Amino acid sequence: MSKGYMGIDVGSVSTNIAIINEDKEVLEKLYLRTEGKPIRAIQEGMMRMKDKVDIEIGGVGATGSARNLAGVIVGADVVKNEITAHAVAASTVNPEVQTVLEIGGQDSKIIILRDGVVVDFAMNTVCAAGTGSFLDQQASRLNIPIEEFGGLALKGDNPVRIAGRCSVFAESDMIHKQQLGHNLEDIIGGLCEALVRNFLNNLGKGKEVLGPVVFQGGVAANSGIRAAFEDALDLEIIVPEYHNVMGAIGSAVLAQEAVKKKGETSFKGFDSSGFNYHVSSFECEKCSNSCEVINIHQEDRIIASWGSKCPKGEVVISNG
Amino acid sequence: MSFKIGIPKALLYYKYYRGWNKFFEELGCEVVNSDKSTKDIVDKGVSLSVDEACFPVKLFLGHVDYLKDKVDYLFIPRVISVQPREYLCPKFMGLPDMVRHNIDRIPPIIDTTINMRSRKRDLLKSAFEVGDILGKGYIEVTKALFKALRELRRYKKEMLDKSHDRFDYKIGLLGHEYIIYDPHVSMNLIKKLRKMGVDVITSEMVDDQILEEQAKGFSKDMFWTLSKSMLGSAYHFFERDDIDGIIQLTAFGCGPDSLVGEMVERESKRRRSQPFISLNLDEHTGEAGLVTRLEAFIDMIRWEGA
Repeated sequence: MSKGYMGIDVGSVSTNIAIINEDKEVLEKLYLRTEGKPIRAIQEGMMRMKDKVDIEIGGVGATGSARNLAGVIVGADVVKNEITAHAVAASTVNPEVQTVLEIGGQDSKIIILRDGVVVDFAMNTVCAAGTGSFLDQQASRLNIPIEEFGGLALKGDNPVRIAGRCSVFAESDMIHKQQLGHNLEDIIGGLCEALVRNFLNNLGKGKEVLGPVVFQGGVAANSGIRAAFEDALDLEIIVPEYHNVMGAIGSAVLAQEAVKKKGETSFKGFDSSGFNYHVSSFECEKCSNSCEVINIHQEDRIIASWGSKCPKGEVVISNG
Repeated sequence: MSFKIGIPKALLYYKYYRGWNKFFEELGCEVVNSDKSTKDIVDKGVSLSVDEACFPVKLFLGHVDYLKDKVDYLFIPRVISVQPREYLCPKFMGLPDMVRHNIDRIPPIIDTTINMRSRKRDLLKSAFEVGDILGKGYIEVTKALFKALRELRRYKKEMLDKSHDRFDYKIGLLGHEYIIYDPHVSMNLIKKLRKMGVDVITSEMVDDQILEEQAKGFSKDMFWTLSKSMLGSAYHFFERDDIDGIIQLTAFGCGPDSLVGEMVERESKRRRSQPFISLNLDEHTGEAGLVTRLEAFIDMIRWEGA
């Protein structure tokens, strides 16, 4: 049986799983909505993957904002932050890449690489203006399927000027323009330009953006945003085939490397999805920090615990 | 009788505590430092202070509140200048007033002005003022001051000798002492870095002479003492081959940091010396965001070194 490596990227909006072979080619991929329930999303993803593939899993990696949770549930060999995972994926797909633009559900990042090595990066701060969830929200307000959003933006001949610095202002600006009678295509086109302007001002500030530029993350599917980037940067923007699961691909590549060093995988098997996982939390009262401690249970056993600032609130984990 | 002197564990405490504690102990006082920052102290401070204050000032008020019922006096000097022809951030000047007008029922405050703008020896004048409040004579106060200053020099020397060879990588950490050494505010940054196998060098571990020289490399005189040492250490770190990366911690709402931070960031881009990242902290900062950036930054350094 051939060997594959699996990467799991559990983000705020989507949970993505990718399986690659020894040559780092994508064999299978899955894109699910997290819908606020990361454990369920991971379990469902594992179940679906089990039906799709018939290979031996040689290693598993986890990334994304719920990477620690995903890591304990599947038994990951490597748990890495999403910045590293995205950079690894981009340079696997395109070894020449010098700039990675990534826009996901709540996060956006810019990663600068030179000679295949990350030299600088930036991630959006607390503000999620211009990320996927805002686009989602606007699409549903305007009653357009998100898939058609980009296409409509491209049809706008005279994109209107919209303030992109804050999503609340952007929305009121859009409503104002719409009430003035501007057509929808121009407003959407204007929104795409505003988001790109905001991204480059915030994250790209002081960074040298050179080609090849790879654009990934869920929002990369939006041809309007892509065109706005091409316009603003005057560079060709490459959207990789598996743009929406790049984090998972990067994490799979990292797992392959990790297992090479470790010798064997800690993967619990696809059937780990069958266990009953639940979470319990309590506020530790042993000092005035009042840490919110979270315990992850697999059946009746606590398999992980975090949220505590000191050992007082830590739960002893039995590895029996 | 022996007085209980309360010194809040915040702001300049982190720079001068060894000297301050020594000074009052030598005068026969009992020094009470507040507890280390906790969520309760942060919450209290935020609720007590004005919105516009920077996060470290808000935190200071929380520490004062913690101490107010436990001591006879609070030591909150009005610090204007600690170096000839230099100043501190104006917030240090107004600190006793901010405390007095935002917190009810507080013990008397020793708010002696410390101003060494013209001469360093003006510090002695301030020490005498404190002595007057506590009913101590000039000779006793002078002795206590000299012992306190010696204690501060000893502290600096101890910091200089802090080198670690057992780590694979070394990071230059820039930021105010009251941010980087407060584990609650910095979210245990130093401990997190050491856990990742990374040693940390701060401006306290660099010779003052070097900081002074390096800060001269800047086109104008930097007249904020704390910012000058930040700038000096940044320039020093840029030139050191054994430092693999530089992390700058700034506090949300800090005026000087917003200028100096930007200057350091630009200079680092210009020199292309080491990887550089700036992290901004405030009371809302979630640990997840900090950890993600930190991990990615360390990955970047490891990757480069590989």
